[in-house]
Amino acid sequence: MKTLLLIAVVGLIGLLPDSATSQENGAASSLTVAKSISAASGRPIFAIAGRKT
Amino acid sequence: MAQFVPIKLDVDTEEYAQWRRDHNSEGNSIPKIFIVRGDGETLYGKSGALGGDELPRMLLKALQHSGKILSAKDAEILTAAADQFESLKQAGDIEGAIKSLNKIRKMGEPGKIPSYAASASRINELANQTADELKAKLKEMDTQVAGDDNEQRLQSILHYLRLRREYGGLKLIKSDLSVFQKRVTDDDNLDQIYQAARIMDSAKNAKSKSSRARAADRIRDLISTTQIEEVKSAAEKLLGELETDSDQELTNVSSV
Repeated sequence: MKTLLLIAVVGLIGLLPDSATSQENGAASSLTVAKSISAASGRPIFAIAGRKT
Repeated sequence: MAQFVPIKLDVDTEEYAQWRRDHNSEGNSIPKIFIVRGDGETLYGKSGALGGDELPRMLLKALQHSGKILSAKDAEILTAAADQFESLKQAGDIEGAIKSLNKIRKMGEPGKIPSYAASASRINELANQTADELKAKLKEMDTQVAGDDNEQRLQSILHYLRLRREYGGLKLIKSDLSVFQKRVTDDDNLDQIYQAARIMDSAKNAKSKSSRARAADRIRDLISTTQIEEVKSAAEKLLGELETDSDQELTNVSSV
């Protein structure tokens, strides 16, 4: 279970939606969307904060 | 990972500054990892990458504190149930409002649904609020039955029986109702009033003509046996009302 989760996490980190990009595109903030999905489903948010490269 | 909502945050944005104000974290370096529950509670917030199996272990631990994850359909059912509950309660139909929660019981007892989704929290809040209202009423009635005014005691116990019928479907308050009932039935004098109140309550709620006739018979028995004047007088008044209703029905039938 732990190994599967680790593989999924490693693969997913690169695919995380970028909240700033969504804002620049004029779409709703990804963070806003993430919060809304989390509140509706009860799924916790997994957020990685870093500098945009 | 499907159990999480993944997001990458840019630390140079105002959005992130607000996020930091909302969610505490340890350390100042980046990257920073956060796990935030459905209700906004921060479960994890730390600087630095997690090595080895630290990340999956942390994620599993976070999931154990994240509550039940709802499907879109379950969330929709909970929202609809909350809307119906509020609307029935607002219309004064507490019993109907509580019955309307039956359809969501498979997800947990209202008031204790183990999920931090907004719809579950809303149902829990509505159920807890309703339970608190009843508890406040029971507290008030507790004071009234403690006095020595039998008329007030009878009215309080009749009120209790009505509340039990209306709120009894809510498991959250079952023990509070039982505590009040035990307090009443453990006292000889209160128990006599309680038994009389049950007969009167049942008569007040008799729907059919035959059940009203049986109820009237029981009220007559009560009037002839009770030693408590206030009970006798209230029972006589109720019997009068039952007999008037019965005469009214006969008049209606004969005038058709």
